[in-house]
Amino acid sequence: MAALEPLDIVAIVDRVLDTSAATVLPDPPILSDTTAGWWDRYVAMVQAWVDRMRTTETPIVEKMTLFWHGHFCSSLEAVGDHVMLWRQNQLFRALGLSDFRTLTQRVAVDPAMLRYLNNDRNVVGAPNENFARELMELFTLGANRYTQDDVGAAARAWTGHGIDKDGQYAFTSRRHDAGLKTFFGTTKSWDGPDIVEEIVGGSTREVSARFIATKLWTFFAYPDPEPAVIDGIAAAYLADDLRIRSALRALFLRQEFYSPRAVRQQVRAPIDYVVATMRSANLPASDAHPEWWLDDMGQAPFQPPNVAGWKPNGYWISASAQTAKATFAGNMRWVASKRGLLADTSRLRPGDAVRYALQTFGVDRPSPTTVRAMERWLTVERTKARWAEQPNLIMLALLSPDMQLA
Amino acid sequence: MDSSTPALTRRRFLQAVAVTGSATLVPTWLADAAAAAVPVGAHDGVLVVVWLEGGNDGLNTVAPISDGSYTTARGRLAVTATTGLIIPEGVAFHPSLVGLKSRFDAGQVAVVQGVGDTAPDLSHSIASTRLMGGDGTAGANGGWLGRYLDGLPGGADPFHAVTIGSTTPLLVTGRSRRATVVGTEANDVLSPKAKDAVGARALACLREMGRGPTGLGQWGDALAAAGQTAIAVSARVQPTLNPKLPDNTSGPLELCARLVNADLGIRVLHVRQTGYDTHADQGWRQAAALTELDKGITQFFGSLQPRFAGRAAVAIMSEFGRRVQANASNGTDHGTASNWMVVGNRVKGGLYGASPSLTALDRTGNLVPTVDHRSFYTSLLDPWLGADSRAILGGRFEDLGFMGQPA
Repeated sequence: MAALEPLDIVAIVDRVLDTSAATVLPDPPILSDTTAGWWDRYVAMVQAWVDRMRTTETPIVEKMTLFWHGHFCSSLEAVGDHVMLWRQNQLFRALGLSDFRTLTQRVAVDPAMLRYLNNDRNVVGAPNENFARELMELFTLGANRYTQDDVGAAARAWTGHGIDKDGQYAFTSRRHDAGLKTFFGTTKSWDGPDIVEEIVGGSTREVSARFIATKLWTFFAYPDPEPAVIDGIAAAYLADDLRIRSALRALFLRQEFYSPRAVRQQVRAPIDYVVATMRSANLPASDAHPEWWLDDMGQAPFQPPNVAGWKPNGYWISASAQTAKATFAGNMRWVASKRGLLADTSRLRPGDAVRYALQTFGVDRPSPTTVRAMERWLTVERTKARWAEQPNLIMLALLSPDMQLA
Repeated sequence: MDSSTPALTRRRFLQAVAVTGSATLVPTWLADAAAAAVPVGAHDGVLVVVWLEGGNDGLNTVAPISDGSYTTARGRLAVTATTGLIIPEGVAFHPSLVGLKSRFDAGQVAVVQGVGDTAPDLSHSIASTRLMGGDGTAGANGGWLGRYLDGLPGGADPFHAVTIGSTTPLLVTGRSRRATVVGTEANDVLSPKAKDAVGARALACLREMGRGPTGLGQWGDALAAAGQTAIAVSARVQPTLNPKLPDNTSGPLELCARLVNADLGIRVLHVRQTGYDTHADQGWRQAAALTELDKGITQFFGSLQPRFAGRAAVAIMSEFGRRVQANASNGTDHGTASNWMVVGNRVKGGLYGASPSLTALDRTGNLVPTVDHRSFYTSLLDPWLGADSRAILGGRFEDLGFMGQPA
């Protein structure tokens, strides 16, 4: 990516949010090959997405695709249909910066979601509450913002919205409960989409705005933000007819976003860590094989652990996740060396070689502790095994705490 | 190896707690890998918790087949006298639980009926938080097994508990300690082979990078600390990963058995299994999940060395049971009380608690629990783990008496 010229922050934010150059991501051809195996099709999906994240000119689109994937969760294992998951991913790509009303309505009738939360099996007479509950608890409002009676009413309203035999959304009126339901105190013949509209655009729109603002801030900055931050983002979002882009613009223009609490104070999620590595080392997914490492690091794409999705920071830190990163870095050192990464550091003094290696991975202000440890190691290594300089500089840079922060 | 690590360890750990103000954010910082593990005492019980994530349908796990309202409510989903594995008193195990049935017949399985929360919640996250917390709060004080870890002897960072996977659940997170997350793959970067001098020097660099404050803030320090933990864990756990673990859901329980056999001082092990949120097609979904559970339990006891057979017990829990009335998707929605189990040869096998009424339901159509979940914990904490349940749970609850003494 070309270096940013000294622009003012508003211009930079507007440039980040300018997605006019976004291009269509072609569907991996293997997805329509019904004879292909489960794993091969999964790999194609992961590699196509990760490569897009690595190379895109409009990274905010992929950031938001990942955000919505962790928000409106569906998992391949539960849905059992690669094409459905891929289409959902394309939906997030297409509408990820649109308005929350449209996005939520589209997700509600998205086949992967219909199947994941069993709304495709929700029929008059014996409603299935799975989607109705998570719609409110996890997608739009947060826990304790509704009653069990509201869940029951929303479930009834969503009856009949299912999937046809071709895997497409279909409404079947004989499966729909057209009777009166009382939802948020109003009794009428609620239909599913009315429920979504009521939540995000009606009586609870402000609760919903704050819920989404908090989730976005947590994703991009830090959890438990100051109330003023959420007020500001929610207000911008509500003032612009629930547009996500306006929420993001307000978010990126908050001074708290550039405060010491936010800058380089976020643990990189595994997908972000792997993509950052691949981008710096110029490794395509066919070389880096992100699908081999991400599961053990705790974030397999298309396979969130449950409907609540992934969480930030401390969630990603554990001995086993660190072990998985060590396995990843241990492999990437050979793959990246073979492609010539850091091939010419031996002419540099150890300290400069270390700083150059870290800079190659985007760490421009490394911790003195990191530099000191690596410098000491390199000084000795040059007297013992010169061949190890290139691969282990790569590996150690990847395993530095600096590289694991965003 | 650097001999200064253990001393730094404790200081750094306490600093980290002070900085974040929350133990849940701080990874366990183990003592130097070279330090000898403190073996489990001859009379110390070891508890393996298998958490069935998603809300296991207790009514179909241990089914009240002689209750007509069960068959009516469950229809095609019902376990019957023909399909079920009959145990006394009109109750049958799910047909998938073949191994558990034979252990039950041998008197090694306690089934506790009607376990639930006094304030049931139908949300996965709220219900799990409350059940894992075990003190009536929404997890404000960590989990009940985490608080048990807090009270064990040892420095700031003993290797007393393990969770298999990549994240630590609230259950095994205390105020100052938490279980160490262990993965199932070996690693030659963190545990280089004996003759690999290049690898040893790179590892020494990693250790040095993670020692002392990073200057990168709380998360940089936490990442560095977790890196150190990973190195220490790897040294201890690596031997147990050989031979390779079975590549299926029995793998984690096999690893548990090997970790117990390795006698590293571990008192609590935690494994999660998924696939229990059976809103649709429960018939085959729950059968598949329970088959994996059953195989895993068989694997665990099969691999456990005889000297630990009397010191290890497996508890099976879940965040809630499911709605009595099946839905129209051949599934069941979120419910309340469920049947929990404890397995082991020091368990006093049989049925405990009262089976909840299937007709006198709460206003959501769910079972009214007959056993407070904290009573289940009490029954494990006091006799088996030698702990003070009253301090850990914030009150006195009935010991149901299903555990013997470890031997």
